[in-house]
Amino acid sequence: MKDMQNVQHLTEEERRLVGYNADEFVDENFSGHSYVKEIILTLFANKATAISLICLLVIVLFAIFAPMLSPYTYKEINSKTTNMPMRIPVLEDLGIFDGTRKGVDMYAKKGIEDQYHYFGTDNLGRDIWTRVWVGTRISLLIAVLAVVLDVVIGVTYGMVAGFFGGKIDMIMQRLIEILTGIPNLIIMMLLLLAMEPGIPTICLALAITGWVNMSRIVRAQVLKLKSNEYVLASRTLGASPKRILLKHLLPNTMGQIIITFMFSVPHAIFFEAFLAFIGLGVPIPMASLGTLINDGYRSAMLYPYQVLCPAAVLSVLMLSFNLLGDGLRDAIDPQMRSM
Amino acid sequence: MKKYVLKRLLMAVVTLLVVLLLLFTLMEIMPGSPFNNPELTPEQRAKIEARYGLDQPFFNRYINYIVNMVQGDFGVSYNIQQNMPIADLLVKRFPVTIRIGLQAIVIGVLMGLVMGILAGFNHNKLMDSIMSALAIIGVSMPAFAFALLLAYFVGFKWQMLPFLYSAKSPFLSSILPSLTLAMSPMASVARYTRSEIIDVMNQNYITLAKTKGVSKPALTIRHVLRNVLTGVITVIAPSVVNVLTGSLVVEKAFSVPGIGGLLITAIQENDYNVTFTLAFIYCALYILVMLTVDILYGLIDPRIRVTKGE
Amino acid sequence: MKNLSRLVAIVLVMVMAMSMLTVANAEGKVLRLTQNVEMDTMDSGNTGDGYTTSIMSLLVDSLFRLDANGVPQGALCESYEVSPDGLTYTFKLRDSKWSNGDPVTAHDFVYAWKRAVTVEYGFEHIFLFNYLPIKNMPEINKGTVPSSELGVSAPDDKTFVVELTAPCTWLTSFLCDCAFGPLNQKFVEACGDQYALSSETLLTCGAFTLDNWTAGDLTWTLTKNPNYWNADKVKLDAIEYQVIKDTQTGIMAFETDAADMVILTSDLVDMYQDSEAFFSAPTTYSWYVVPNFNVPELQNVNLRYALGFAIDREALVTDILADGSRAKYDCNYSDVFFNAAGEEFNSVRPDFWSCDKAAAAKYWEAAKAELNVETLTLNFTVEDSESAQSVAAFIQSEIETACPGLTINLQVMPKAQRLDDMETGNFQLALHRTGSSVPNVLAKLGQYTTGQALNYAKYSNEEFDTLYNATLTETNAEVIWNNCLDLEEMAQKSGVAIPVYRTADCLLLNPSITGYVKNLIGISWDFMFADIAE
Repeated sequence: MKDMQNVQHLTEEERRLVGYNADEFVDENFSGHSYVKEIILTLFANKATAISLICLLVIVLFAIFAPMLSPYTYKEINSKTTNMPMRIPVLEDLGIFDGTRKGVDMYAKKGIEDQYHYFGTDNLGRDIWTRVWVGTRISLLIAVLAVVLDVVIGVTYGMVAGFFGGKIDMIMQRLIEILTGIPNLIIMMLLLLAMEPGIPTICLALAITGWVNMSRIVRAQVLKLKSNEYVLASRTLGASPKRILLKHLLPNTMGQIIITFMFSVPHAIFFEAFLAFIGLGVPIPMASLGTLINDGYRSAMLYPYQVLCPAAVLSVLMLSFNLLGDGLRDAIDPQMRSM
Repeated sequence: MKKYVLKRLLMAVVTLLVVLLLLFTLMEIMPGSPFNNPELTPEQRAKIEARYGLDQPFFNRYINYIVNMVQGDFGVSYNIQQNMPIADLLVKRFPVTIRIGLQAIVIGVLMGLVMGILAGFNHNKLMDSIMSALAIIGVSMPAFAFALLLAYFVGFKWQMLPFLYSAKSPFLSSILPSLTLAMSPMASVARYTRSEIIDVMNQNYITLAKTKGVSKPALTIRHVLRNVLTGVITVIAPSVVNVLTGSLVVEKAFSVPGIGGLLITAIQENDYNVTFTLAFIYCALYILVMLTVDILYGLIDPRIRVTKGE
Repeated sequence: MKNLSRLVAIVLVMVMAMSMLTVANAEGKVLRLTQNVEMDTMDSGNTGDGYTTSIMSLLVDSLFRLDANGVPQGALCESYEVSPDGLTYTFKLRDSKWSNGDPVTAHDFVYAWKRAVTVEYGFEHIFLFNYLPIKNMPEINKGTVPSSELGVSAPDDKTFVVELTAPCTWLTSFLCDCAFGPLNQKFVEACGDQYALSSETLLTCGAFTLDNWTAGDLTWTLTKNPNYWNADKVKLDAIEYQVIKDTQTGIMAFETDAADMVILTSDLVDMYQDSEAFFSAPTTYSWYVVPNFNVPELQNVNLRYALGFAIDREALVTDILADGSRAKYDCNYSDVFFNAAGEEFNSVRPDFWSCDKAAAAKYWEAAKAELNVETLTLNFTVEDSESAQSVAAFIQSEIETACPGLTINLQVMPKAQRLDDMETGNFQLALHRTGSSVPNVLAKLGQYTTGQALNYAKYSNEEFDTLYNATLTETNAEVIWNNCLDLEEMAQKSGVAIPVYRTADCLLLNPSITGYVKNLIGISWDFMFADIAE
């Protein structure tokens, strides 16, 4: 089954040479699956993609439910229980994550033997487990919102430029050149310093610097599809540009858009973490994965779990998105690999 | 070709002017002053600002700055290094950042190519999975995590390399910072190379060469790499500017006297001249790199030159 | 394969060998210090940053220097006389030379002082001169009189005279600051704009010299000046400085013995609590919650009391900061002001503020009733440094828990913006830090008078103003003392500035370093007579 992808582009002759039974092959591919179903099947055939999708779902589930089920809130400060080590119920009987530091049971020392902090506490005594999942919520929210904005602006811009071509296209491209000439960092910093720091501002800053990529891809795709016969047919029949764009070109571009979306999300999460590192992240006491990593980094030598826990979640999140994007791309449009 | 380059350069000048205007406007809107010692009274602060010409109207300052810039005078720093001409301030720091950046790119590209080739040729075997995993980790882990890991283990615990940049041993102390910076381009190059090789390896002409009995190394060099190289340049082009202009994180972690964090500090401290100069440099570099990439692209891939398609 | 591994081995060995050849340090007794910012300028008229003034004091002597007991000892000043009315100080200078051979004269002092107060030059540290009642200083500030009319003169090369308009008992300790040091007029004017931007454009007359330095360097070395008048008391041969911005990198440098002093932040204090190398000394920098009296709700005194009594300062400094910071309950400076009997100002009367959550809740209830509200939201402006944010989050949590219904919104911004907002009154509550440059409590209390530039709270109390103005012209020390105590009590009870904590300098210091002087005011670190035990 897994070698299927390797032979898809070979001619029938070559497939026989390689040893595939033409009938077997034909059965799988032309048995009347819809486009979407075919993509989903190819997707799950790839083990890495399947695992990453599951990881992603697990993380999203935790992000939604873990803070609700936790006895602590994300901003509950308790100066008596600062920097507590990790303590996880079942694992502590195995000798790891049992709340001890250098042999001393910190939980007994502070008199809170009946409390559990799965990921420990930070320097203000806040429970890191709750904060990590609240942070994941916010990081995902920011990333998805930013990329959605990205898509809306980029797709519109790209389609208009690609479809109308000529002078309009030229002006729009020149504008993009000027915009891309400005380093992203500068735009973001100035935006964030001029406006009130917060989730909407960060989303806006991320979107403003990210839509260009989407518009380029959409424009390239539109240019390719523009010369197809069905578009020509529509035009002769007198269809308005808006109808052609929305009914014919947009659905056929959807594949590229989804793939770019998948790759833009980790990029946005990463950038938000970077912004947090330079002090422009979500305002306290809210947390995002970026601000958590930044806070934990300051005492990484002493309490590594404070930075490792959010960093692990961030890495798994990004890995999953990247692998999922890889898989989607292989399934939808193998020729897009050059992106 | 000449016309194309000239047109791009003209666009560059327009872009730079627009960028500077944008920056001037934004710094104008931003509250705060470069002179923020809390013991100064507002009158004293106003007088100090007047001394540096900050009380003049907006356009006067804009035009003045551009006129001075063309003559090579980028103004003085207000609070990062008080009264120091910015040209002097940057002249010492820039080479360090560029050097570490170039080292990072070279390491990144070379190692990325190797990883990608190993992964691509061993597609779907264990080596592929390992290399792919490493590459994805490189893209997923933030730079400061690498910096701390490298500094702590390689520099501190095992004492193999210095973890503080020192002008006394510029090469050795620049290894760890370069390695940290190289992670990101290495990962992108590796992933791109791998997929390109998988693609190319399945092409007809490769199958033909194989049946003809061409050995694997010759195969690699003659056929595969040439095709991959054009794409690699496009892939790393954007990161080149980021890497060259240094990383705040890396420079902070290893105490590198470069320009990495200077832009961010300048914006936060309202040191206007430093902000404008650095932004100008970043833009100019970016445009230059993009132009070079386009020209190189045209040179390496004859198809692009001929079709000149976008 | 075998060849490859051999090659790898050779390369590794070469790398290791090369790494050992990287040392090229100074000879003799060398102290290695670190700091987390570059020096901003070596122009003594313009420098005020704590690290830079410490370094400047080693390069350029001033009139006096504080010894280990905080008593000013004559440096460039060999002896001095005070006129009976306390308004004229005559300093006799000792023989000393600049690094280019020119002798240090009284004219150098006159030139330096007049230059520093010339407003057109835009020196930030003109405010230091404002603290001293020097003749013509207020007029120079207003611009009605040129800076050349400043009340200083040099009757001859070795005599420097300062004329005051009011007696100033702490003048000699204040004159330890580098801003009051000499400058060689010929040299400075010849360098023009380039003055103090590199070793070539800098003249020194102090215990050490600075070579091979350009502004913006991250490393530099001070070497002992053999021609210094007090050279035989100077034990060190050189001091090497390195800028390390990341605390953890600094700790690694300390552990690998590459540095003798590094900064320790609260996050990492737990690593070294019991270590010999742990060093913590209080400073005069204090953090306050400043309410804006122009906000109608904050004009309610019960609300201000609720805010102040809700904060458990002891928990903050012990559990969260843990770096030697101290809880603060007063509105001025500690360990700075003493009366004739040797009593410290803040120890004489009990403080009004304390932590009393029950009281806070009661004040909040009263405020709610008076303001006729059930809930209230206040904005809390904070700068974006890490410690400020932790402290603010803690204060927010304390207030919200003790006063249910009261919500505090944190607004984080860069320091420059925070100061700007405070100045323009664009805030409701702000976390503000002040420090003392002068050992004079009255000057600090003056910041609470109506219309004073630094009175960001816009607090106005006629009784306070009247008493303050009366004390300004008072000459009886006991009356001044009692008036100040009353003013302090009024300030505390008004809630014009809610004290939170007093910061401490927390470092890792190599225990074999001795002989350094740590001052509360003025030059914080003085390594002039430091020594390294073998």
